[in-house]
Amino acid sequence: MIKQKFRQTAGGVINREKSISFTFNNKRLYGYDGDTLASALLANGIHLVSRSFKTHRARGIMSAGTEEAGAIVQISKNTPKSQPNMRATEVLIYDGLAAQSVNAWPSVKFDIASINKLFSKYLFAGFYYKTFMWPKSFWKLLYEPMIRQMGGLGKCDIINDDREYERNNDFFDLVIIGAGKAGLEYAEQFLRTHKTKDHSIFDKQSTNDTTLKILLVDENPLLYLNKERIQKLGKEINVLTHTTVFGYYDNNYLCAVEHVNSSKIDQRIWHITAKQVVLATGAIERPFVFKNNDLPGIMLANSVQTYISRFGVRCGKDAVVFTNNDSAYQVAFDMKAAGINVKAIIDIRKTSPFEGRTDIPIFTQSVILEAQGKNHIKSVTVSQIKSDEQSVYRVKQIISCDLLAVSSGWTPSVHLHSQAGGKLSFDDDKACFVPTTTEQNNVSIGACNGDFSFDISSISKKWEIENGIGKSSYVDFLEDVSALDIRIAAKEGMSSVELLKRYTTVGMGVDQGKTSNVNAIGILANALDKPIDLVGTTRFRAPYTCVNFGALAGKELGDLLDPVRTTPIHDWHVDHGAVFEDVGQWKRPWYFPRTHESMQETLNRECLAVRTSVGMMDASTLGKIDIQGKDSGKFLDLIYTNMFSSLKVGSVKYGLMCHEDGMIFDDGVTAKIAENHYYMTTTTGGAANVLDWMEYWLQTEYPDWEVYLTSITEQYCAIAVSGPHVKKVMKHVFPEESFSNESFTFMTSKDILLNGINIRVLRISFTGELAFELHVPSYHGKEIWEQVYQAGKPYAITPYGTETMHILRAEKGFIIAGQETDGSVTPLDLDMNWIVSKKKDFLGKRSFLRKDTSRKNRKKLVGIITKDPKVVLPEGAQLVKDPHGSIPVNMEGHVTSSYYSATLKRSIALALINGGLENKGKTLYAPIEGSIIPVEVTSPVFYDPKGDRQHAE
Amino acid sequence: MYSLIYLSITPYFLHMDFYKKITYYEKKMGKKLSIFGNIKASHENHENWEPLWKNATPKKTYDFIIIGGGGHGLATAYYLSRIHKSSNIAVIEKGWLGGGGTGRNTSIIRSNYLWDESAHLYDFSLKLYETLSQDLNFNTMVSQRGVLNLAHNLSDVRGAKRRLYANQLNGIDSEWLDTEGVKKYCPIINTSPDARYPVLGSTLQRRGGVARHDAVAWGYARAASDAGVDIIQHCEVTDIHVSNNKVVGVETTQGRINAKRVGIAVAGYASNVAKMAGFELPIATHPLQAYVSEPVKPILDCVVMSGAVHVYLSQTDKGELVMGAGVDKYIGYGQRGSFNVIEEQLSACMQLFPLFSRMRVMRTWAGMVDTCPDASPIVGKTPVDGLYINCGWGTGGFKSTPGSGWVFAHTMFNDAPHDLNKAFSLERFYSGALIDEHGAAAVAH
Ligand SMILES: Cc1cc2nc3c(=O)[nH]c(=O)nc-3n(C[C@H](O)[C@H](O)[C@H](O)COP(=O)(O)OP(=O)(O)OC[C@H]3O[C@@H](n4cnc5c(N)ncnc54)[C@H](O)[C@@H]3O)c2cc1C
Repeated sequence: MIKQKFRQTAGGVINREKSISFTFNNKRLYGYDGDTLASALLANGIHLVSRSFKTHRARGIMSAGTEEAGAIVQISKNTPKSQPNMRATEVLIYDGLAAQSVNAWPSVKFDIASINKLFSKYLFAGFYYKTFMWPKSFWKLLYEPMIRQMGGLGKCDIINDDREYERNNDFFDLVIIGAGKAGLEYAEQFLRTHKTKDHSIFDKQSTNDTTLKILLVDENPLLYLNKERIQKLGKEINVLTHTTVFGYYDNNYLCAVEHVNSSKIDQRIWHITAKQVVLATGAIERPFVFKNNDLPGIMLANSVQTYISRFGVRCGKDAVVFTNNDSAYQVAFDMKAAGINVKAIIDIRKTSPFEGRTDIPIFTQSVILEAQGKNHIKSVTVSQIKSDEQSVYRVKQIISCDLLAVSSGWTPSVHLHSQAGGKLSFDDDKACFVPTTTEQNNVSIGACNGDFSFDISSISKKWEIENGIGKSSYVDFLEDVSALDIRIAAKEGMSSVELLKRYTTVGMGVDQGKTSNVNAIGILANALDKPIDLVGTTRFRAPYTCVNFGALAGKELGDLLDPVRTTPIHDWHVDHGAVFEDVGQWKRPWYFPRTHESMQETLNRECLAVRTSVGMMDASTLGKIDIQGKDSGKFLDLIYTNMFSSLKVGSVKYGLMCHEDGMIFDDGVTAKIAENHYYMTTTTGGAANVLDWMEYWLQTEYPDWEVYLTSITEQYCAIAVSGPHVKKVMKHVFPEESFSNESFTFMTSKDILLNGINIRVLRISFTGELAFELHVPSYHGKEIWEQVYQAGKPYAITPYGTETMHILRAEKGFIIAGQETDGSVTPLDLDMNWIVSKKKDFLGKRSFLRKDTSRKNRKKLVGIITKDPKVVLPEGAQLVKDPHGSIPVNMEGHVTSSYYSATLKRSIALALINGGLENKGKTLYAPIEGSIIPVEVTSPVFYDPKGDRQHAE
Repeated sequence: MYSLIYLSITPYFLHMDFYKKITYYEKKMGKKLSIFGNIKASHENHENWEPLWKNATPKKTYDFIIIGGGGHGLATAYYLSRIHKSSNIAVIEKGWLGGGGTGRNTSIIRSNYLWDESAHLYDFSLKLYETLSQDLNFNTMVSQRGVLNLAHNLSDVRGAKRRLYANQLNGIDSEWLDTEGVKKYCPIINTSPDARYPVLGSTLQRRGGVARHDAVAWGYARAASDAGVDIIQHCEVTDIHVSNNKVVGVETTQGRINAKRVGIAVAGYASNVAKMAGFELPIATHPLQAYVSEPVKPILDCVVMSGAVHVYLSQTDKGELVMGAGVDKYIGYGQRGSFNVIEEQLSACMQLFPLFSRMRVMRTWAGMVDTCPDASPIVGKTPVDGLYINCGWGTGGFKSTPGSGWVFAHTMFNDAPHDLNKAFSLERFYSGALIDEHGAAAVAH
């Protein structure tokens, strides 16, 4: 095993017994169990990890947490687990881990595109908007592809992700977010002072006797936390570690992602509702803005300390510390104790409370003007500042170093507080935004509330060291936004932070501005000469840290995306070779091909069977609604355009429904089963909408009407049997019944008991043939289907699907709601005046009087036949009068349905055209992909226009 | 290849002589923004950048006031001054420019709408987009990378083809791709027949694509401001003054401002502002969310929309996947939506793009959309004389920004609608002449 040069011989929480082998840019390296990729790289002396977004500058590890803005890597490239844009600080190493630099070619050390650095002079805020316009054609051909090529960090591999994710929902009385100092203390204190059964803490009225459900969450793995204290707590409350709360929504609704990393589940999304939330999310240190502040080897001070204490890793040999507050001093002392040669502490402030208390040289009233180095920091230039704090003395000193630890202050992690609607204000003494009022039931404690464990009061509010124009003084490392960019934007009028963010993209990188936002606001405030508070922050949005699409999609994939609905007869259809069609969530048999049959041959066979013998269809997907109550009749009169209250018991009626605008939206037949009891059917796709629609009117407008609606779609199968031989088949199935026209008249229904099964038989016809529909309790659906099928065998009964149903009804000119109608069609447009009651009011009626709805020359239903009977028009084809008219052409209307009719031995179509049947006999044209198909307008009823067949004896 | 071109042109920028020549070119090109200006600025240490637009303080009286500094309001002001040569115009914005739907949308532009009225208006707008960067001399990054509208069941196919044939006869480019064609055009789409909702085909509008939304607002603001329009930010209209059924001015947080004509272009706030003038609108405002992933190298070169599984996405030039979710069903003005809406959409996205499982959501947000019962906008006169309304674009009004501004300017100037927006009057809700675009607008976009 290769020695890890920067690993101390002892210390840290890592398991030194277990060495882990991984690769970085194909080079084999070793770390220990418990290392992050960042700590393992640092242990091996590697700081340079990636190249920056626009300017391809060298970027290294700058933190030890989710705020990382430098070290971006691609994990497991070219494998199913490939993950672009991971922060080295969030990846735990494991045997076989392969990590790669992003945005660097051919290598991170020698990156061709780093020539951008030279070019970067011109890559400033708003650059794109001001260039690449001329010549116009270059944008598409050259400029944009070039910009796109430069954009992006990692690669999204084309291989599918094979990790599994799941989702969990839970409720807690109390959720404590953050198991750092403040969070842990709060949890322990809470358990000491409150009985865990005392619900009155959260809910005064509660008489609940169960134990309070309490949850403590932290984004760190348990290993990095105070294990003993947490394990002790874990005996009494729930603990989730390695879990990030990334969203805080209304009603104390939290979304979190748990990194499970088990062999089965990679991540688990939590949806948590909490009565009370305690935010103890800590604070993030801020970097300084100075020239070349982005060089690898420049790190947030506290992270240097973390690498020592958690991983036993020294981030360098010769270090300088640069600060404007007290917090970095302890870091310097720890660094020294760990054997790092701390050459100097540069402190902006006039005096330092630590002067004389350490042998590390302290340079007060001094700044770092710039850092030097190519792929790693080599030295820093230090100078004293004059008392005006603006200008520096000429005398400069260069200190060589390979590590610079910086701290320009602390930013409380107020994301969740803000996402929850809480307000912030800028605390001038602490130089940070702190929570003020909250909108929801939450409280912030500890560092995220600005209550730091060290004294911050003496902080100097200076975080930019101006030196030149600020081109390479970076504010947002991920987005390559410099102090100059912010000043340009301010000059150009981007006077609010939201505009600044959009113009410069500051804070829009994968870290969402965790280290850059406050610095940017400060620089903008300076440029605008406004107090920081007035400049304000941008709105905080979920997620706090990036979350996998796959994790959020959870298990609702493939067939679980949307439930697949099948009828109880489905298996039979499968066995008989049906091809299925998706109709909403349903799978419906589309047609039943026999071997070697083309689709059209199948349809011809199925259609002819119905017209000449008998066929059967599974109509179970129709919506079915049971309607009861003394006002049912009155209610149906309101919903349907025609009269239902006067219907006799045992009768069936076809009805149309309109929205308030008078446009048809569904249709179906409804049977009157008994006084105040109706059985309604709707279209397959419209079932839920119709029920919603009716409930809406009942609940909002007529709550005093006594009507009860029950969806029974799933409870009943419907079997349509149709054709000249149907009565013989029915007689065979129901030997006791008479199906003569006299005893079972058209448009009536009967409940017939067959072997103890109550079957509702409706004599209705959607094919124009003699026909019955059997509505059977679902449990017996398949059995009765089989019986009908057996009974029909002597007549070669033919099962058919939706396509044949469509053809047969089109031959009769029957409409399909949703096909002949599209939300712009009234009953009158379909010449269905006969179904529109003049005697009563109904929904939509008033609209028929409106100017446009009552106008002549509306689009109306007609039949269309092609001049060439063999040509079948495509559905949706537009019809025009003038086939050679120039574009845009006036369109007369469009073809709504179109089929080849085996019965008529020609193609037929239905269409909606201006003026409808006034055009009967006229020629129109369908221009289709370059060819022009002449057609003639006819009646929409192509077959049996008198309608005798359905009444045959 | 691009890196090569890039490398070969870079030295020119670095050459000082080149910089000197620029001053010459710049003179030649007038005040135009250009690469020359950029280079010059950087050699001048960026001392001399001027505001893109001037922040004006309100005058006492204007001929035209436009309420709402989104794309539509700004474009209206720009065309009022440029096409109608009006002056004395103000745009009043309560927050920052483009902070409404304009700065929050998923920036899809296309014109393949079903009905003639919409098709003509949206296509007019798309045509304006095609030369917008040059017209405004501001790069709005219009990227005509093609828009797919996938069909997943037979009824989708029927609807899509109907729209396709109508588009073709209206002169709008539209093609049908079968499943294989879709796979070829966008290879990363899962076209397996075993998918829960398999891809049965798609329409393709090659002229459709995306544009940089903020740049559209800034570009119009800059050009309008240059033409003398007063752009007033952080000024909220709190009331509309009407006398004898004629508008006379507005009350704002910066005091009263008089005006001869007032146009309302406030999208999600339309109902509230209309109420100030005493009339009602058939508008329901809903939250609509969108989100972006972390940026990755180019992986998706076109815009993909699917109604049946409700997904619409594209990749920004920066490399982020930008996706729009569905509306929250309730009415709301909070500019925040519910998380389950995003989760449901990502499940649907996984069906089409299983490889995106590894992508990560980086930022989510929401805007407010002003939806109309027929999914078409209202652009025209109101019951109050001299007061005009532009709203109801709902989930799809970014693509119409230039066209909408153009016809709204015409309407305000002539006190009569342009041919292209005649049909989109408020009056249609009385006459019943609705323009139902639920099919073309089935997915929010
Ligand atoms: C998430 C999302 C995704 C979308 N995706 C697309 C898409 O892909 N393609 C597409 O074409 N469309 C899309 N849209 C729709 C599109 O964004 C809008 O239709 C369009 O931006 C509306 O522009 P506007 O100028 O009318 O309104 P806005 O941009 O909303 O501007 C209205 C302005 O009025 C201001 N205002 C309101 N009240 C007042 C007052 N009283 N006084 C002064 N000022 C006031 C507001 O502050 C706001 O700035 C999307 C919308 C959202 C929310």
